[in-house]
Amino acid sequence: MQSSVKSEHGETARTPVIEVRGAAKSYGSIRALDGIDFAMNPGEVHALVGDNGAGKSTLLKILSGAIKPTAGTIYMDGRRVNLDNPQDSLDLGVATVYQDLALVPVLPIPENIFLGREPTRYGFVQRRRMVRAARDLFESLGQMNIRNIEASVADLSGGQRQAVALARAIHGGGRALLLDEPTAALGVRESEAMLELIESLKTPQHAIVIVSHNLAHVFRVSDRITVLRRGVKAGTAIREGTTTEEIVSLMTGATSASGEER
Amino acid sequence: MARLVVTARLESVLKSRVTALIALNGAFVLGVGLTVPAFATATNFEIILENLSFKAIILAGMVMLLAAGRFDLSVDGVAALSGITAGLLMERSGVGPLLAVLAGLAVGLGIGLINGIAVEKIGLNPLMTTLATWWAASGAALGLTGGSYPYDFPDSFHAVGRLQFADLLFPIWYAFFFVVLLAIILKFQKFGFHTYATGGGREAARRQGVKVGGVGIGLFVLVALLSAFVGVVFAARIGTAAPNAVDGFALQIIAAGVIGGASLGGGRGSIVGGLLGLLFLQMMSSAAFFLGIDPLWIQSISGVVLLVAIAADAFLRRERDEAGAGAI
Repeated sequence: MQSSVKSEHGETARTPVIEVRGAAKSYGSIRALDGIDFAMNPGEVHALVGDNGAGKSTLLKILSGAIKPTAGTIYMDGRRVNLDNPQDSLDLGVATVYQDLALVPVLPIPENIFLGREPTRYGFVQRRRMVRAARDLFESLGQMNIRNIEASVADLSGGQRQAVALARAIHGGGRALLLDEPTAALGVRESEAMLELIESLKTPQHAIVIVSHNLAHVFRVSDRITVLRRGVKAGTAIREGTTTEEIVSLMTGATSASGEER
Repeated sequence: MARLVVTARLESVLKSRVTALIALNGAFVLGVGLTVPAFATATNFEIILENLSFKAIILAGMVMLLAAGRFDLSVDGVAALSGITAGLLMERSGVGPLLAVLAGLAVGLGIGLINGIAVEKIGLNPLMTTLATWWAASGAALGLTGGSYPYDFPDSFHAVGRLQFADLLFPIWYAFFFVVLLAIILKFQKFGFHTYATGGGREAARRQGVKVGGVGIGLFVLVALLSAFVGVVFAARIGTAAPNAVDGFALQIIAAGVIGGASLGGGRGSIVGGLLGLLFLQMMSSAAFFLGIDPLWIQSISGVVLLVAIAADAFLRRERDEAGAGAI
């Protein structure tokens, strides 16, 4: 597809799956977000960090179509798009895994994965197809260790639930995955499994954003880290070229934006 | 792999519930039948089936509404007002039976829309909303009659409730039709999947694009239409449209649904299970008659049965949760 474009100088520059330019969001006189440039590149995990109230979830909601920015433009594969509601984003392949996961606990795993887009024939839901697809999906995700694919979500552990939500996002054809605090509710072992899962999704087909408070996890899986502070971008850094100390100082404002690179 | 060892939880709970209810009903027939042979006869079973059929029609819709996390108390009032409306139109306005029946169903449609929009769009409490429409509808049914109940109906109207097919009354066939149709929709069609999702996790379902408000309104309308249909058919069957004809239906139907596996919390419920619960309640009243028990006690016993059913359900679920979490 158009994941890579030759620039005039002959180097390969990738077209971001999603790019926002100059995104701003105000609530009355309160400025939640201002002048944000942000890109999700294919095959890349881009972490979004910042203190509480820095604007991380506002930016995430703009990408997922949950809120409309007051200013700024959004591009998908280089084309300008409007993400006016969650359905617009879903249709364009932007899938969000919310922190509360949005699962239906009483229902089995396949029902949750296909929630809202069950495959049908003559109006009848093709349940066997759903079960098969769910099993394949979990086999490809590997490590989550779900033995009974028809178990109710209520009977799963936190990590397994997270995996169900993630599987749903991927299965929906999501090319841009927005993961809101994917490890916040998990124990050490499950966090590790989730991080491995995220790493395994690092394919040319997917662009991933994770919002996280846990810098160790961020450094573990991300390729690029953007720091927000009080609604503005404090900086973006390539993971290899930065340190926890630098990120923390950007988060707290000890350093102002420097080494800006996209 | 381990799929064979650990069968799906929901599936097994439903299955064991249906199995348990079949066993319970079987044991009941055997026990009472051995004591009073007249109880376990084809004739009595047909009477039970006939009494059951009117409730079963509404039950099929009510279980779906319960699965969507709602319930409807206005059933008795809607049935009464629909029956009276059709009856009065035929007796006092000279309207033909077909138009009268349609008018009765229109009453159901109207009240169903009021219930649905009030709960799903305006956000009113379903208990208070349907309590209010029950009062309003049954009051209107009483008021419209002016004290004398309509009974002078043409034969073609009586036929709706009295004709037989294969030795069974039409109402039994109506019940069969609605139970099968709605059970298939609930279990196998997209609307049914969305019904369970709406009741099991309204917000999650909404965010995944399920039209949860539409599901609710649709089901309130369905239950009200089925109630209206029962009101009309019941009037045709007994030859009078009485405002109190189906009093007590709503609570018995909801109780049967819960005995059959539905929960007021939503997300669960099976029409077959509800039907078996209804059969049990109906057989109890019949048995009381044969055993010479005062029918007033039946209500009391039904209450105890309901209490035992929900207590057993809560107990089993706690047991399961303690054994379950993390074991998958």
